[in-house]
Amino acid sequence: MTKENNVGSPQHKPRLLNKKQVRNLRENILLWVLRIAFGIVFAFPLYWAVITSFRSVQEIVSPEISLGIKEFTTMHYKNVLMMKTPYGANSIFVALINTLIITIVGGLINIVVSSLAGYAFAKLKFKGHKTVFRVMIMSMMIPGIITIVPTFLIISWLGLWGNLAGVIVPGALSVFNIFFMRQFFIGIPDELGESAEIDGASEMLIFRKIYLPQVKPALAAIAIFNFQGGWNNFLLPYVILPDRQLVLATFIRTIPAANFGESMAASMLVTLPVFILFVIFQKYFMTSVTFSGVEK
Amino acid sequence: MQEVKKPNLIDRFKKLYEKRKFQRNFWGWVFIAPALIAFVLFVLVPIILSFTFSVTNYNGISFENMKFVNFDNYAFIFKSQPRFWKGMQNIFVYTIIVVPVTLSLSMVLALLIKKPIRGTKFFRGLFYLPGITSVVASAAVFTYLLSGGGVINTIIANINDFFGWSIQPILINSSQTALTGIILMAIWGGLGGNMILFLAGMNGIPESIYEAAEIDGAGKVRIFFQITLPLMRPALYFALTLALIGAPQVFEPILIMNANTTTPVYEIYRNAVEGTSVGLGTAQAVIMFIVIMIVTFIMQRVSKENYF
Repeated sequence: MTKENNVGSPQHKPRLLNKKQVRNLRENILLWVLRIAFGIVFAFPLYWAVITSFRSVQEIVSPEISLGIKEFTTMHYKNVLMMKTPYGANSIFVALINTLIITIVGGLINIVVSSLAGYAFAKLKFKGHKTVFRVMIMSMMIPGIITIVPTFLIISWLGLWGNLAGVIVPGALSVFNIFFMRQFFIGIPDELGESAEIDGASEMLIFRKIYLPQVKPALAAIAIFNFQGGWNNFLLPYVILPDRQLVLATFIRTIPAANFGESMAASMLVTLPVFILFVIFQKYFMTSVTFSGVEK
Repeated sequence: MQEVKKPNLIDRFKKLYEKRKFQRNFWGWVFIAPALIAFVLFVLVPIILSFTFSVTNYNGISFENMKFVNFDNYAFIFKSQPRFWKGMQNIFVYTIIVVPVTLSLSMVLALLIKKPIRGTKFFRGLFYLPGITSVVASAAVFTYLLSGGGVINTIIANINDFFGWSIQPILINSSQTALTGIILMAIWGGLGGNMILFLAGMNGIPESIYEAAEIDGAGKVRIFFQITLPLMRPALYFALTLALIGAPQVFEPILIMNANTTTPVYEIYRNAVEGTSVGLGTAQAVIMFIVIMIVTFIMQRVSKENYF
């Protein structure tokens, strides 16, 4: 009722803000207040970790709570960067190199495997593709715990125990990524490949030159997804790699938990690249998360 | 002239079609081969092996002394595995707290950042950051936050002093409160992903529906409960199903933080990966598997929706 009056009556028009705008403003203010409140809760653990990493040991152990830094020091970072493995090598350097190998090589293999399989399911529709696809998708609902123990045994039977390949090889398969790629390939019209087919192009050529360039955003999304997963992967490297073959995730854990300054400095150093990547490629991070919910 | 050529052309296409069909079948299997090999090696075979080993005394080192032991492992678990059942209890508490809290808070966050006003992108990023922090880094941070002199326990001590209450400090090395710490960390880390999922669900609802509801004079709360929530059912059930599969399997934080508590998967890890009781560990895994599958099955029955 009131709404009709507002819209219809001209005497409200000269006012600076009409009722709808006032309501809108009030809503925005409420949103902001709540966002800041939640934002503080969310950011607090990370904020606390960052300031701790720059505090002196005295300040860290003092029972007094303050939100700033009294005595700024980069000592913890220096210590972390100087740590040595029992074999005398620089720990974080070894960890970084190993992590990069696992993340990049593993990530690339996964992309190749996922896009080939996704393409085959979407476009080649070979005999039996429906059954294979259904079995793979069903396995996504199976709790991982049933596979974890034998997976370690298989890695060891394949002779990959204690080897970076032991971390990389099991990561070649991600049913989710296959599903993800398949959906993208399905979205591309068949006509694109058909003309090339009549011209006698091979299936591999059609895949590489015609379809693959069309799904670049999807490739970027799984590349980032894989990077995050590989970078943060803890369990597999922790169990199968020997002590001297650190990765960044296991490196953090070598620092005694009671050395809070160093432990926080290492955690922040390791997390920083992922955060930077996230800020740059936010769009792709979001697609990989939302995809699963949008496409049922 | 044309009449002669026509069947010829069809013939040629038929031939081409047959050739293509064969090629597609052939190349289809070639393209799928790497994924299929990995799938067999790291999904199918492990599932079969888990069930097989669960009725043996396999030690994970050699098959020499491996024996078929019938259901002894299962009987042993049901008779004398207090830590496993304690873990089951813990995981029950963990799941019924973490899942509803994470999902409803994620929904609140999604509502907060749905409206594209100033700062929306910033807060979306901020809320998502804990989700991309690795388990090890967040475990290190929470180990510090929840240590004896850590900030959370200092605040609790101050509150106790001030109000004369006696809230227990949350300590990772206390069997009483370690689980609380793990729960706090799980909620903190789990909100971002679900928030984005729900946000996508909300954005999928056509604006015209909201406009119509507003014209009818529906309030914000009513719009949420009668329009947004029902239309987001698919996203909600999807998130709920994933959470109900994932939550009972938590164990990495416990391993990383040396938390003084346990979960079934941590027990499985201790028995079969750190130790040599592969038979026992896989039997425990089979039990967990069955429990989770029952929960998922019930979920699917209730929601009547099929995601996979």
